[in-house]
Amino acid sequence: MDPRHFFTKSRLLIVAGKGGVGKSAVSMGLAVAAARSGLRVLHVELDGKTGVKPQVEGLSHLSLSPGSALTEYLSSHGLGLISRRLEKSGVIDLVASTAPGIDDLLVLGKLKSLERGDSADVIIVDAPASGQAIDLLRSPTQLKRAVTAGPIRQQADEVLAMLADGSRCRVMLVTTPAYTPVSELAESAYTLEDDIGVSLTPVVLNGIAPPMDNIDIASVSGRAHSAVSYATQVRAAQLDAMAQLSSQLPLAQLHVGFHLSAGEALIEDIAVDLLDAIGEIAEKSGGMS
Amino acid sequence: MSDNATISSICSTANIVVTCGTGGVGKTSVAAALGLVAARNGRRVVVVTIDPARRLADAIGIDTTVGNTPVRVPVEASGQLWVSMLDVQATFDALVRETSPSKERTEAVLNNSFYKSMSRSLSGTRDYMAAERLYELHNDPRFDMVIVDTPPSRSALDFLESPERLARFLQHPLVKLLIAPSRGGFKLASAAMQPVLKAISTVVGSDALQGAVTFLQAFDGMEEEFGRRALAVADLLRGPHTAFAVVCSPSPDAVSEADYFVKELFRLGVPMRMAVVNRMVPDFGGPDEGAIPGVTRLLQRLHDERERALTSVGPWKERTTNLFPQAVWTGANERPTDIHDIQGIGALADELTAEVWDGGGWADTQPRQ
Repeated sequence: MDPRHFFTKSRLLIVAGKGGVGKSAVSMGLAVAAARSGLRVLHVELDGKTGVKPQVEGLSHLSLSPGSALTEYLSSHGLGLISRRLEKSGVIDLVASTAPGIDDLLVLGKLKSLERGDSADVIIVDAPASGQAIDLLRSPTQLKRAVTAGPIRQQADEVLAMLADGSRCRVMLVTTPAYTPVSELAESAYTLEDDIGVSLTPVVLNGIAPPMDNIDIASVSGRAHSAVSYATQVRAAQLDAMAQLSSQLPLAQLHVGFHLSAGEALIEDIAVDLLDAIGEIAEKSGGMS
Repeated sequence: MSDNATISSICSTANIVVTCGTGGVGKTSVAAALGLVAARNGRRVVVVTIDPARRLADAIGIDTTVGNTPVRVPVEASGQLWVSMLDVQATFDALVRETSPSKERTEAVLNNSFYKSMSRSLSGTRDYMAAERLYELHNDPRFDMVIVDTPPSRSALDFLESPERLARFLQHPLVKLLIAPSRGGFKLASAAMQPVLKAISTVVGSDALQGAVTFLQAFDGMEEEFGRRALAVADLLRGPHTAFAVVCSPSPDAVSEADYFVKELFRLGVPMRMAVVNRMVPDFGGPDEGAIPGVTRLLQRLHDERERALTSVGPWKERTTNLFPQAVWTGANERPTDIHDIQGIGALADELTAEVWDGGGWADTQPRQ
């Protein structure tokens, strides 16, 4: 598939996955890949991490935090001075507990206004680790139950409309090729589609070990035997997990190799793998339906 | 803790162990393995996971659904190993029942629609209930030791501060006014508070504010007991019999997250007593020029992976030791497949406590540093 086509199916692309699967590096690799395809890309970071921020033409970076989104919102709604004065002593907590999930909703609201604007062709969001990412995406539905009118309710409705529209927003799930992370990804995928109604892109499998040379285990001994046996088992377990994911989830997979590089070099390696993998996807594949 | 503490001695003396670390480092398996070490030392241990995922049950290989009620795991040990998973709603309900002055009040809180949505969805609630659950299990005469497996995210340590945050919230004049209408009243709220309430109402809508107010009013009289317990939990977590463990794996990402946890513990004034380097790339002894080409390439690749692992873990150990010189260091090798039964947990426990480490069976025997 033409990467430009892949990236622009929706302006907003939210990258989610459990901690430790390399989600942040993959989201940044994706942003670099999109920028290299000639698109104007905004990479948004929600986790408060200070990772590598590659300087690539067409790519800009933004950091958003739930706390600052809430404070900013309250300031613009007449609670400015008061909220600053009372922030430490609990007014923010009171608002946050009056309408649970309001801070998450405001982050989504901010993403929605970016999506409605035209400052970037693609907005790639590095979402918090998966459990919290689901909480984040559920916040408008949750809030609708408690809040029946007013600006927050309107915000919730508008955000829900965006989440449900695959031409505006999609979610990309990332995992490592191991048994538990793969089952958790499949579970998250169904929760996201069924409960929240978002569209999913192909999933990313990150950190795949290189294929083994064909070595007859009986022909080696000593430490070579240990090494061959270890690497064979690692590779077999990864292939098993990938096959298991294919059977549990009818989504295309983008494979990213295991790289020894770090920092910007790692982001580059991931971007190259992603562009290759995107190129191999058939034009029609993608969503689960 | 004395200078010659070991993983085994900490597991014999600590009353509370908290494991933290980012996802994918095998934190849950390590928590279960430390529990098994303590059970082998004759202690009655409960491992409680705050993470909503089924990872703990999966790692130990038990089929039953685990909730707030601890389930005993059959192990070959003189002590006992139990597991439990935090149920936020059930913990909050139990807390309301315990602190409520009357049955009517209990019902009023439990049936409040705001309470129902808040107790399930508010992340601050989860943090506080984790602390509360820890307090309950700590005071449960069935157990000598509680091991808490925190969620795999940066916010994992929020629960350390949540009791104070809740106490502060309940002490807030605005909240006090809302809780006790007879002593001040929503309508009679001071002139300084009226604009705040009005503004909150404009933002979230008056019905949501009213729901919250009804909820807080139902709490009248209970907030002091809540605050008292919150502070007891805070003391407990910083007490001399609580041991924090940071679990790390040798990938650069995991190391930078581990750095974050170490600094947070230092900032919070909580002593880190254990450092676990899990999922270490085994040592196969480097390339062998005489071997067949495929084997040489493989040994080279594994050697490079191990070198990178050592390059990221070494400096982490140095930085951590600067902040926590007393921390006991241990580790375990990467396994080709996930741990999914109690035998696997047992093998991990052996590795974590071995004086001479056999490298998880993959590598030559090496003395523990």
